[in-house]
Amino acid sequence: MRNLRYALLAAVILLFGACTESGNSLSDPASSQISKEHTAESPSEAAAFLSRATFGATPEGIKKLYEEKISYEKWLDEQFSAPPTYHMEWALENVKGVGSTPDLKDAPEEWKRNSDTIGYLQRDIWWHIAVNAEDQLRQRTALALSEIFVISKYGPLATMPDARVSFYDLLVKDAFANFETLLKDVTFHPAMGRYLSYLGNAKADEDSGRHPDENYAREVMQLFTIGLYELNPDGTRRVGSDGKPIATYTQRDIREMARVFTGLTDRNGFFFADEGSTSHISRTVPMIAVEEYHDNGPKTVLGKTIPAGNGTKKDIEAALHILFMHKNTGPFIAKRLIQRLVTDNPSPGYIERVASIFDNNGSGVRGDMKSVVKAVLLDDEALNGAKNAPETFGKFREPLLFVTNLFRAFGAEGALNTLQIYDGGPAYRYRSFHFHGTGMTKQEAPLEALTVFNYFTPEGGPFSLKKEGLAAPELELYGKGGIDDVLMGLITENGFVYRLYEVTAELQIEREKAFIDRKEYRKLVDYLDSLLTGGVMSETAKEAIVSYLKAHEGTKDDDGNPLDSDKLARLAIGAVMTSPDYALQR
Amino acid sequence: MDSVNDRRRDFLKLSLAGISSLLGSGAASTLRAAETEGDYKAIVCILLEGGADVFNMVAPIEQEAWQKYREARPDIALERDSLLALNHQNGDGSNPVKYGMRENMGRMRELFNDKKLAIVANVGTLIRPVTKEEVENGVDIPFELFAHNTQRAQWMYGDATGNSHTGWAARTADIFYPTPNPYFNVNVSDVGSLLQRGGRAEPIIFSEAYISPDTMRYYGFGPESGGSDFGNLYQDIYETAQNSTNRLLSAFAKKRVRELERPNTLADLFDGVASFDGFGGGVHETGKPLGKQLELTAQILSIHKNFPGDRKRQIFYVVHHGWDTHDSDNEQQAGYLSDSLGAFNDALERMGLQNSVTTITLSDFGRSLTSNGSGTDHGWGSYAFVTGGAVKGGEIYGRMPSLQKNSPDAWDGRVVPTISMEEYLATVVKWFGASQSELNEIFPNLKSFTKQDLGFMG
Repeated sequence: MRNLRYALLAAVILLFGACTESGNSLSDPASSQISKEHTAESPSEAAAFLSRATFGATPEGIKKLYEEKISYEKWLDEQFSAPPTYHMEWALENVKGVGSTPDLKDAPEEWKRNSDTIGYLQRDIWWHIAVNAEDQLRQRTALALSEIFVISKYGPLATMPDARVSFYDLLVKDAFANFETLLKDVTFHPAMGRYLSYLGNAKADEDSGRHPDENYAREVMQLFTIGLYELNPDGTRRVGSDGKPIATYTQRDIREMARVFTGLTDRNGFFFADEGSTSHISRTVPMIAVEEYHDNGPKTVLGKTIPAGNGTKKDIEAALHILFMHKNTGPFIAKRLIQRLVTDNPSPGYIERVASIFDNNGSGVRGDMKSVVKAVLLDDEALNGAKNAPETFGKFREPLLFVTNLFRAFGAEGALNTLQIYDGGPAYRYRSFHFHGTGMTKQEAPLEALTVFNYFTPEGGPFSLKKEGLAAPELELYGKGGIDDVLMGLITENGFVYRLYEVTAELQIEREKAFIDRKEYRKLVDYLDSLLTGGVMSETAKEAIVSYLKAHEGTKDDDGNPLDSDKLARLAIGAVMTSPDYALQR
Repeated sequence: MDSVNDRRRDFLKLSLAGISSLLGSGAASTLRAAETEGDYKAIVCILLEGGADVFNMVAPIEQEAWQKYREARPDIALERDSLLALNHQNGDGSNPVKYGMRENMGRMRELFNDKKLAIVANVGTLIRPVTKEEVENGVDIPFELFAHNTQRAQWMYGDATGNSHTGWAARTADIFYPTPNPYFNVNVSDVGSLLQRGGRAEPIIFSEAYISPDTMRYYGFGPESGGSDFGNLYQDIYETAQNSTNRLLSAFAKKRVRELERPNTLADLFDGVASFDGFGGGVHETGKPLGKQLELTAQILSIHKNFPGDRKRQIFYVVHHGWDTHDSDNEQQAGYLSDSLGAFNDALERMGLQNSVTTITLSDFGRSLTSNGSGTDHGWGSYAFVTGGAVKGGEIYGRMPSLQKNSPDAWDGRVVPTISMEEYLATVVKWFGASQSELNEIFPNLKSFTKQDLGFMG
């Protein structure tokens, strides 16, 4: 018996040794972060890294990381210091009036007056910037944050596209700031104030029995910082003596927290949200306090006391500080960021490593988002997960990312398009892809989730995976009538969706056509595999595509048109991008 | 009005090419022997997503009780003279006070007074019956009361103890159909649902088959396209990926292959599908409007006999989005629900299915009795609405909570439920034909409650 135990132990040591060995080339075992000098060892590796850190790999991006041997660390540092691209600024600079319509910058109230149609502007700007902006890492992180700090077109912000754009810019601005700053800016923004109904939230009134609105009090804890359950540093749930998870807060905490979030309103001159009309300014600059509506008494939240008499701003800052310092916040945010950028099912060790950087970036700073993002992207599990945990590593791409990857990989060029507000009304002209939908039945667009719970929850996914303890949140957005047929329309610049939206996204596919002309089908598929999937495509799938190309060389399509190199190249791209190996980013 | 052919095209871009059976073996699953022929029954579950402010849907109409109700929520209380009187009889003596419905809920009021709609008073998630004092001391209350996702999940699991992890509709399917029945659970909404997941058969998700863009057909994805070499390549790649060592990848590939194959099985079903009038779109609806979902449900019901095998039971799921209005009192939602239920009832009567289909409402929770100035916050106990020809309507089942300031029935402004969701749901599933032991299997915590049949089903 004893011998058996030793044998087992030896086996474990061997296994452990083997694991460390295989990760050796890249990682410093102590921190599980790769070494500072590490550069991409193959174009595929570079592409995989870029699919996590940007809106999609480009041939130029791969060249920089692979041929020019810029280390990942250096690349990240360059991205951290790249100037932010702000969506509102872009709109004001580039959205020009047509005919008698003034430019948007000269008539900002048009944002609301024409909110139904001009809402498309928000999508257009987002697509333009996601695909073209240089500050890719910042924009990608902002999208991830927008799926944690959720506001939406659906609900009270339906008629306020400028509030939504302004909120998104806040996420762009704070993507690499301190988490506490981010949380504070989110909380004071009028878009969030309206969306979660604490803009115009008044203190309790004994006579009428009115109590403060609890919406933000709850969601800022449940969804933005600490979550429902007490967590260990590695993100697993703590359990009590009864074996059950431990709630992080009670209804009493919610009630007390709701008292904190009283007294805020926007700058339109009235307190309650439904009074008066709003202006562009009141929709886009931080909320202000009206002290007579604030509950200035002492409050106890999560066992900590906020003293009486400090006023709205200080009370809110104190409450947010309590949430910021809470031991759950690190692992809570770490898991969500990892899921949005790298993998749906991070190991507890990975979460703990990122959370520990959240707790302390090495220089004693808590909540340094730069260090957190770096920890997420440079972890050994991020870079070697496909190799070391082939059974569970990866995340499904969101529908938005299918399309940004396509546009970036093939240098899609937009065009000057006109946005007509309504018949005979104002019209705007600006450069865009004029692409407005990711699916006919399961839409995903920035800031358009149906509820504050985002398009999916971190635990989401099909039941078959759930019962194995695995999440695949993005699969909630997949399905027929989903992204594949839209993608095919975009790739072939044809089809229902492409024509319906009058998309202008011209793909540059000379390189791919040249492979076809030379009949180098296998080389083409290998190249696409490397560029688009990071080289994870299965051999059978690649061979199937090659066979298809060979068989169709020189033939005609169903309509009798020759399948020339242009058409075949597009079908090859389509076959790769609609494959499951592409869908699961690894 | 679209023609039948247009409808059919919109439903599913179907082709008869290459029909294969979803069931694999081709064995039709059969209903347990106990059921007799020809007794088709369906339950339509409407989720009022976000938590419905039922206290502004049904309110006391008698002066004294109304006055107290108004004091409880002065800034949002409904005006007494605007309420539409309900003609209920106080059958078991627990509700001496008369109630009325919100003025824009004319269709539901009409159904109620025609005895086709029942109200279930004060139903909610419970672990066992609790007193207000016990709640104050945190004794045996469900985990994370007032949080949307956990409370909705408890309703979908039909269990507030935290011990169930599959939907009650999925468990019902498994009980009624020992051989998996892929047509039992039908999701007509635009979102996934825990309600129907976790059984031996996955639910049909109609929103995904509902519109199939031309590109799909053009490139030959799925057999409904008529097939193409490119479509075959696509399908081959997914079929191979089912064997991937990556568990996420293989699960996804299996799901996609099922989706690709499923329309084949449904190919013949939609001949003769009916069209209906009266389903409107609602104002500022979030997501796919309820009326459109119920219209599609009615259409599926119109061809339910076409479903292969012995299909005597189905559960449909639709979602009415947008009830979580902290800054208003659900006025639009209440009116739209009423109109949509009215149109749905008309459709069922036209098909002669009114006695076969029972429609029930579920919600995350009720809302707070007191207001926050412009709306209400997350609450607990709620009212549920049940409608259909098999319902003993025109009555309120259970005791209505006292709606007043410092209500003896409320804790911190939240009404404490007196009926568990299991008692409510089991009453409906019993009508489906489940025995007591089967009900206990579907609702494992039902035994903790005394009144397991609330009596609203005939």
